[in-house]
Amino acid sequence: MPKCPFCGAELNHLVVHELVCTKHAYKVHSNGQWEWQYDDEKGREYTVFCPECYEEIPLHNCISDVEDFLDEEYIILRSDDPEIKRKGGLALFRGKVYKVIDESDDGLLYLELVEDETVADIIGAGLE
Amino acid sequence: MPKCPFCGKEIEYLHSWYQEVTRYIVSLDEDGNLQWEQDFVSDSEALETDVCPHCERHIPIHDDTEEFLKERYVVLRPDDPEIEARKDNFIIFRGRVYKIDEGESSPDLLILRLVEDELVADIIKTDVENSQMERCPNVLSAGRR
Repeated sequence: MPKCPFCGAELNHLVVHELVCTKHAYKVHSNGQWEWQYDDEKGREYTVFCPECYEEIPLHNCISDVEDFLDEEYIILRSDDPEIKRKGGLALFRGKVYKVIDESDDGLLYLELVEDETVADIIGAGLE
Repeated sequence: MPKCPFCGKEIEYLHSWYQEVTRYIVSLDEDGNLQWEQDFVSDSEALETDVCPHCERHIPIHDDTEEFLKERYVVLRPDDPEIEARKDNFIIFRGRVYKIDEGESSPDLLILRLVEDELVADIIKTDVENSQMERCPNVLSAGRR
């Protein structure tokens, strides 16, 4: 189960806010009647939150990363997380090997699972 | 048809932007498929209203939007070329008499309210045109020909 990088809670779900912006047109006809017309133009923004501490989880590609995050294929952790063993661009977390794909200024590590089991075993042995 | 004080284009309608937030609980089911459960939907909230559909700038309409679209309430730049004459608090714009709302106007934008009473409007119009003619006799007479 993934963990929140902020409160450390184990997460079996995430909270996602979808913000939809819609453009409306206000029209007044020559006979004095007015109407609202709804435009199809819509902008959508998604934000992901931890359901426990309600901090925003800064996924890179919000929607496509949600599934990978819940699957623990893409995780975000604090660089000082006690469960991480790190060596350069690789990290061992709960027995799985991850590649460090980004490290933010505020101390967050963005990790991607190394899927190839043989490679992961070789790297993992070096990290143990 | 009213005009935008910024881009000068004729406006048939005004745009408004609204936002709505939907909250989902997202989890994986037993087969590892993503499940989206809608948890809450907020009311629609106005982000920005009275936006020109051409230049997308907000037009400061302090009155009813309908009054603006019917040209009973006009927002104009002081140097708008369609202002035919101006005297004190009154302006003739597109042949109609408007009173400047000094409380809402700024140095960059004039807020005008239509003088609805036809008799009063005619008296003001004549007065404004006469004083304009005294100052610049050729302008109005040329326009009338």
